[in-house]
Amino acid sequence: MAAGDPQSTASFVRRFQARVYGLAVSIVGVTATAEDVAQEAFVRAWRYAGGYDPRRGAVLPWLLSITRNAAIDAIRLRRDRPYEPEVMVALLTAAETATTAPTDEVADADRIRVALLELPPEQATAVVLAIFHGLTAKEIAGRQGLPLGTVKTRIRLGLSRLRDHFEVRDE
Amino acid sequence: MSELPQCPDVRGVLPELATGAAAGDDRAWALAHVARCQDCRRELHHLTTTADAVLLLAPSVDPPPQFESSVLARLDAAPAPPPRRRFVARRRVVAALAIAVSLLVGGGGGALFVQSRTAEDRRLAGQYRQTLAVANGRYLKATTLTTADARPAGTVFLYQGNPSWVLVTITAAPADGPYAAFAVNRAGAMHPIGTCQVTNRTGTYGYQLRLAVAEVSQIRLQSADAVLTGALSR
Repeated sequence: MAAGDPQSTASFVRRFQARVYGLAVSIVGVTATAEDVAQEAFVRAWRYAGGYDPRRGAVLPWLLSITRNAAIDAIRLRRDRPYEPEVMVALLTAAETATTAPTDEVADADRIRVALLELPPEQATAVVLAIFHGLTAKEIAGRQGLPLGTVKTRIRLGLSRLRDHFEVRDE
Repeated sequence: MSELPQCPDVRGVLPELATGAAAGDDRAWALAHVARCQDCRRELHHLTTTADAVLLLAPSVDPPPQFESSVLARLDAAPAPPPRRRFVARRRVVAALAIAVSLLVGGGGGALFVQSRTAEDRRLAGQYRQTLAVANGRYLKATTLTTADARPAGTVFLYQGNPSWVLVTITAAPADGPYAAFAVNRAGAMHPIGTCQVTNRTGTYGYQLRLAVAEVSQIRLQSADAVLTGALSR
């Protein structure tokens, strides 16, 4: 997304808008808010484009992490969570990856989906609450009425198992 | 906490760092260790890559028809981003921070500021980790800066060393202009620490801190139009 090149900027937005908007809707739930969040994500990406390092990975995960942060900013303001975490896990593990996504990302999504399905539900829920809702372990513990140590263990075991299944590519 | 943690202490916190579930204090001491441990840095990178990959599972949804034109209109109205010279820019910022540290450690005194136009938290954390390694600091604390209506506006990092200092990064100030920065102690007294100029709602500044970090209860930045605060626990 080169600054000062309207054609490539438009092409970039067109290519990724469904992924960015889809993630925003998944997190904030309300379409009007999701549209604001998705727009904000593209503005932030444009602003931070100089900080994107192609060696760290593909554009889409980078752009989605920006979208996630913008969405979490929005739901923190509203102080509500549109989806119960169990519903969110079901949506994520059932979703079909877009056929237009690049091949590497389809493969990555498939592997992480299988890994998430294989997690014990309580670990998947803790990981999803942290990643998609931006909650700290303490906030998750308060929300679910669990000891803080239990939540920390679930996040640690859950993400470590995802990582083992995911077979992260080396730097 | 006066000692930096070791690998076994930190490994359990890395998944929380990668998912964003780590609280401010855990985050600060774990990052202090990650700064000097290549193995933990590599593990954190892998866990973060995994956490980012989970985001790929969100389904694609076509946005409303006017979405693309609305984004392009916002980009047209936005200020120009920094030039795409990432590696040069990063070296410059790290070098500037290293110079700041060396001057402060050498007893340079006075408020010394360093400005960075790009203020994304992860990048700043990376720069800060390198700085900690340079300065052989004792520990870090971090807290979120928020506006009067509780919107996130940036991050404050406090460094306990000799001398101590504070790094303020503003990512979404409600208004541009000069902000007076204060460290508020546990008794409520406000100690001026410097002034920073916010441009395009962003800015990053470092100041020498003449209080012990443990004595600081709040960092407060105020301009004619806005107040940003970040609270610190003991």
